[in-house]
Amino acid sequence: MNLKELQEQFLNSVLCDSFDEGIKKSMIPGGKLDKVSCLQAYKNDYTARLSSALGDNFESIWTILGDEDFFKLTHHYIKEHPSSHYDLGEFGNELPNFLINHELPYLSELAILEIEFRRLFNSSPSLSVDQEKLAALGDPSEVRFNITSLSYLSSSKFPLYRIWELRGQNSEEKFKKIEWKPENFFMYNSTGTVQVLFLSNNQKDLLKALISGQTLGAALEKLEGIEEVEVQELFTNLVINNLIVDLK
Amino acid sequence: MSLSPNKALKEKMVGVGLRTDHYSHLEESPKTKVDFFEALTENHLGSKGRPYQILEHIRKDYPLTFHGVSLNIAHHTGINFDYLKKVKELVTPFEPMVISDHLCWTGAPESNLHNLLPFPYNQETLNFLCDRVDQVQNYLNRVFVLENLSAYFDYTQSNMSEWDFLKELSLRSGCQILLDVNNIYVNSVNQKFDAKEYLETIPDQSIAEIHLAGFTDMGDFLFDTHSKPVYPEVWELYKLATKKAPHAPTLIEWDDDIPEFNILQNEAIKAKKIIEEVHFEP
Repeated sequence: MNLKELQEQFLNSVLCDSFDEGIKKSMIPGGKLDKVSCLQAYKNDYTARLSSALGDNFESIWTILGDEDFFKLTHHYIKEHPSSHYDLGEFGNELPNFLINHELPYLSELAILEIEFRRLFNSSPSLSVDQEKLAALGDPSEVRFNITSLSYLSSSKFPLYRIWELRGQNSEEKFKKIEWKPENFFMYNSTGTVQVLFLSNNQKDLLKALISGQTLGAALEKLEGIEEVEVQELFTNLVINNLIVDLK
Repeated sequence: MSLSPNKALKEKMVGVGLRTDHYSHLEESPKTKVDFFEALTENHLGSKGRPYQILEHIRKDYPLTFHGVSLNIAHHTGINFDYLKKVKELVTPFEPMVISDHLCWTGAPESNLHNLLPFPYNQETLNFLCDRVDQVQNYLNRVFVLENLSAYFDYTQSNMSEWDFLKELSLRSGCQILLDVNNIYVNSVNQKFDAKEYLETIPDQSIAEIHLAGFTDMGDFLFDTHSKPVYPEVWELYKLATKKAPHAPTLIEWDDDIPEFNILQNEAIKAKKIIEEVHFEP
């Protein structure tokens, strides 16, 4: 039997429900293990390793579900989605879709937030637009503000960030105290650490329009109810946190 | 940058694995009693954020080694050059003393098992591995270092011992060996062979680095968990290993149930004392 056949048989034994007879014939187990318990040890290790990676990558979901339900979930996920990446930090990118019909309706969005946080955490901040260029800006209504791509704009009917903040904590009491109302926030990395701004609905809509490439004037035209103070507050935050990377 | 044997002996280089659990401690207290840090290659491949900044911060004060788990050099499909390209781009600015991975396969491209898996030790796989090592070394333009792994079974298709295979591979391909003394001990108990014969067979100058770690006794077998202090039996074997390869830096690995930095550092200090006993005391 050649290397290719042996490796395929071993792989199938770990990934599938039954152990391949061919690989069993080729194995000399160590210790007091027999062939089945040896293969089972590798199979268990595979599931444990990938479950642990999902626990690291989606800690908030683990916190919400608790050990039993979380590991039931990870076992199903691992069976449907084998890892195809060398980096376990990338494992679980299909989890938001996998959770789309979960009885807790915010879990899928929470999984997206975890993925976005990791993306921001692992990125190097980009340079912001020259402050002099900003100061020299005349009428801003025709300007397109290029907002850093190291960001994530979230708008949910659930208090996602408040839930996410409780990850890894024994948080039952704190969880009960969460005010269940819609939430908008903008998560970003402009200094090497991930930070967050909470936004009103109008600020969220304005920022969304700017990110999509609209000029400030065009964006404001569609936001009749927005107050000047909301616009000023949003722009102050964008400037002081170096979130504008270019002007066009 | 290569490490000269005399420099390593003079400085008694003992390092520890760089783990996220210790980032804050090392930022606050960068002066330690260890001589170098070993970064897990995969922890830094996709990151230019905090993990990368920590690496830059550590490199200002310490030499680094890079240790990978995903080269998958023994898989029949061949080298993943996209992965190797990323490794090269990552490690080059840090001028590491050693770049290593494991002599094993880890799964197929479409389904990675994320485990270090054995393969049969015979002439067919030796020829295959020599060719693969050659490809890796040519691509990286440096000597590559491969670690002996802990395995819980062997194959009926093996007709060479693990230690003879490692020796032949290093002599034929020019690769060097990361000698994991804990893995030798674990395999010697599980697969019932003489660990000293293993150590004696490996050519002294082929050893580029030594790893030490703790295992877990599962009852039916010893499991290489890297979750405990180094066992006394492994320290005894280490005395022979460091005597044989005084030029090779030693690394303490601790990957699960990771303790406070000081406990890890104490294991490194213990290794330093053994080096002194072995090399400097009459």
